[in-house]
Amino acid sequence: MMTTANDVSTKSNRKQGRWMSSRGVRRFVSHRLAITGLLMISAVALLCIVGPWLLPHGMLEINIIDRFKPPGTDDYVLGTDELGRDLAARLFMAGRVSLIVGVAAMILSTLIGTVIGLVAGYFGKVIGTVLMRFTDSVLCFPQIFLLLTLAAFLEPSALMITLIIAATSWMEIARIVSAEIRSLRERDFVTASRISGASHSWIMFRELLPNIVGPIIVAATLTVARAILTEAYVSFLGYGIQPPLPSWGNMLNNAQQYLDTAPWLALVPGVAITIAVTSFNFIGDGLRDALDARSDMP
Amino acid sequence: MTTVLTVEDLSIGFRSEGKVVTVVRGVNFKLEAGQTLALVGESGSGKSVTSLGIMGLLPPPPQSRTDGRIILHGDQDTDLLTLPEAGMRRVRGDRIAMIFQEPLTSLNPVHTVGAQIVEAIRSHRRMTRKAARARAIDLIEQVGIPDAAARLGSYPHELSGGMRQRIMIAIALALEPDILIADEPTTALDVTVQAQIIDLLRRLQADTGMAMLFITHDFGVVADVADRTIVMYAGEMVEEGSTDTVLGRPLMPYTRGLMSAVPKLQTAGLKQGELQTIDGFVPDPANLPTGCSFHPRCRHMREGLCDVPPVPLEDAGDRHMVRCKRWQDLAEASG
Amino acid sequence: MSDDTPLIQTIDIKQHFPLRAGLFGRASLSVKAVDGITIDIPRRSVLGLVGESGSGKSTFGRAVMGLDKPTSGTIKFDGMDLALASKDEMKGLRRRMQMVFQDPFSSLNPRMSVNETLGVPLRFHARDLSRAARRDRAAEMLERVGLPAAYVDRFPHEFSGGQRQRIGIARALMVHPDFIMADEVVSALDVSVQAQVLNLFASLQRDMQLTMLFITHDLAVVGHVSDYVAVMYLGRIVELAPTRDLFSSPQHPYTEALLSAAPTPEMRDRAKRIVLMGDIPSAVNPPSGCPFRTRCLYALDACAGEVPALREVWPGHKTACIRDDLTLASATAQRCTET
Repeated sequence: MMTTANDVSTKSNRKQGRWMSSRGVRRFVSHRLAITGLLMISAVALLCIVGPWLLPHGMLEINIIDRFKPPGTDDYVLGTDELGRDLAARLFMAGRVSLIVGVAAMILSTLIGTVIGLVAGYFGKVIGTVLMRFTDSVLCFPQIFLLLTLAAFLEPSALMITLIIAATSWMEIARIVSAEIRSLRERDFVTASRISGASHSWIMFRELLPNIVGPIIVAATLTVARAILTEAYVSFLGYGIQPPLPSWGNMLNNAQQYLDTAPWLALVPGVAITIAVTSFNFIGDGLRDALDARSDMP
Repeated sequence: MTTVLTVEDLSIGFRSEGKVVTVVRGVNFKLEAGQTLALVGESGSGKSVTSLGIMGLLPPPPQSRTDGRIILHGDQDTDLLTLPEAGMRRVRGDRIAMIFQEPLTSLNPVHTVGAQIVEAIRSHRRMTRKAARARAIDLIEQVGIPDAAARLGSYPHELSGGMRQRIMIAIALALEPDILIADEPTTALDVTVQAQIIDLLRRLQADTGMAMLFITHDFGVVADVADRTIVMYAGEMVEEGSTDTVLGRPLMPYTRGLMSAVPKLQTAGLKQGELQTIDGFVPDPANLPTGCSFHPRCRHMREGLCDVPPVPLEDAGDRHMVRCKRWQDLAEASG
Repeated sequence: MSDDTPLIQTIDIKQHFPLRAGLFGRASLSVKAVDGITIDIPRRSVLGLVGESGSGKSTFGRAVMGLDKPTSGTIKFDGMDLALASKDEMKGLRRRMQMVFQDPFSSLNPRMSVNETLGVPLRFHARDLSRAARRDRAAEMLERVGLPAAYVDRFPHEFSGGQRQRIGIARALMVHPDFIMADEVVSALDVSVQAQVLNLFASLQRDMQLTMLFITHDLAVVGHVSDYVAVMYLGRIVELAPTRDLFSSPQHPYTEALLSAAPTPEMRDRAKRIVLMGDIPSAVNPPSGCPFRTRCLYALDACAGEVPALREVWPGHKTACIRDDLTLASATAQRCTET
């Protein structure tokens, strides 16, 4: 039809993806902390996956003679614990457990939070009010209290602890999603979809959900950080992952009685937790800047 | 007539991805006391940027670049472009005031309108709270709001769109400015309310003798308010003259095109077929056509003439300026 | 249904929105957004609905589209009462009535390509179509509304306002409806683009034999596109007439004032212009009797009595004004002839 001046300018970004615009990627890459976080967490994950195979000792291998070796003695890179087990091997195995629990809890809580938030935000009125009041009431309980109560009554296992963490950490995502949906559902394209004959679930999942992927990803990333931390302190209190299966949290629990004689027992898992948590927080911040920018959503 | 503001060769550019994109080029005009000058154009014509430039409300360099001179006449002439921010703050409100399209966003929702008017007065004038309050009531009455004293205690959201725009006008007039810049002040309003606001502005202008710079996209509004009119396209003035001449005998094909693209009340219901349109789009300011910037969309375009720079603003007589190389033969052709 | 029954009939439509009062919210007050509208839209004609904000025109449009259930009243589409239609019948009706929106930015899903957006109606009304067939139809329709077919894979942010509005029109036409409700479709557009979109509407309406409800606040626009015009004020129709008739001999003082206030670039005598006082009264507590009487230049004491019913002044021209002794100025009368 017409010669278009805009054609020229838009051609360059024709190839860009749906929700992750190239601009978003560029913004993320230029976010130094986020990239540092990504590199750190990748390194940690890689070590946890391949580390145990590279070390000379297994995590359950007990060498009573080599008790309390400080880091760097013989072939114990990070030293040994009170039973002479290789701390590095235990740390990496514990990392697998902690990271898997963290990520799995995040996936679950994101799913729960997204669905509840989506339904609550979309339907508003009675259903929405009921769901959001329920969310608020769950939020009112101190999470640690809820966790410990649940953990005390239920058989502690990695699966159980994942479920418990997920069940106590979906609320924030639900609130974010419902707030986003509440403003989006007023847009004309939702009405247009209704007029086209679309069902509620189609509108929720096909029209609305893709528009809030950004905020969900950001919230989910931050949830991983919190889940790892939560797992750590529940396990630290002895209600989480049970020995001999190691997790960063129960390693700390174990370490507290030797704090003055063998401080590395506490330092090593402590540093690991800090690195993992801050990395995820950095990534979350970076993603927020990159994705949450409303600029590409008029 | 006294000239209160002279804009000379004003150019405004914005920095975008390392380059400066010029969005207003070589704008010249004079504002006379007691007169209204309309800047008309579609979105992207540069009309609003021009007004922000005069108010000194553009992002500071290096995000923007401004060339030319904006001379505010008074006891002594000052070039607003060289004035430091502190001086500019004194000019804003005191000498030049501005009202906007959406009064709700320019009013602070947590303060009463009375407090906001009093604040506007006291930030520029030494005056007791009581005196300022009396002046505020006076102003609210002047802008035609009944029960002025009671209205002082209202919050912006309690007022209708028309009332809010009246309050904005009251604030703008609080310091008796020499110049009022009105940026699409009636666009968000209903027709009957628009008529009220236009009436009000004309009455206030007659009372105070202020000059008005009226920015709009609507030729109908122009016909109602303006003494002189400037039509802008792609950052340039393309036609200027008295409103009667520009609307009654437009010479620039763009002005003509715009005017015939508007449906007319007179022919309503006659089903007179298609409206005349202007094909294509306003050009990207970073990528302007050479020569006349309207030539790719112009049905009278002549190759080798219209696409060759420069295309100066020519005088068609009686201070009627037009930027078109073919205005003479086009005027003859249309009688 | 026979061809001369109107495609759309509404009978005494009311849409009252209750206001929550206090904690236990017994809704004693309500916003009477639409307060009794009875109107027919003949087949293949365009009814223009004009009014200022708060007149209830969009609320009425949404009720006609079946988007909000009216508080009371009947809406018939092709003789079928929407309230009584079964789920299956309703689905059939949904296909036949489509809508174009005001805001070209909020009406397209920013995460969907043109192809996907235009495919949505087909997914639900032409389920047997393959993905490729949907795409072909989308491309075809895109050309029909004046955009290159190659644009099907683009996303909304790559288009200008006018182009987006064309895409919105294409979406409405995908399932070949009989009826289109167009709500302020050109008010967000620049003048030159507005003319393009209006021309498009006119040609599509003619070629596809569409029946249209065209809602706008702009009298000149409504005059250009409509066969009939209804003027709304505070939830009621105050005047209804064939377009030319309405503009050349308005019978309601509000119409006269609207025509007088509408800015046009033609030379005119400003002194003769009618400027109404005040704002539209609240729809929560409208004036007794004639809703317009508080701002009317010709109001009598009698106007505060009964709510005036629409009366026929001459065949086809109805007004809700009790005064039959007025000679009101037309759209042209108030303008001096150009010299």
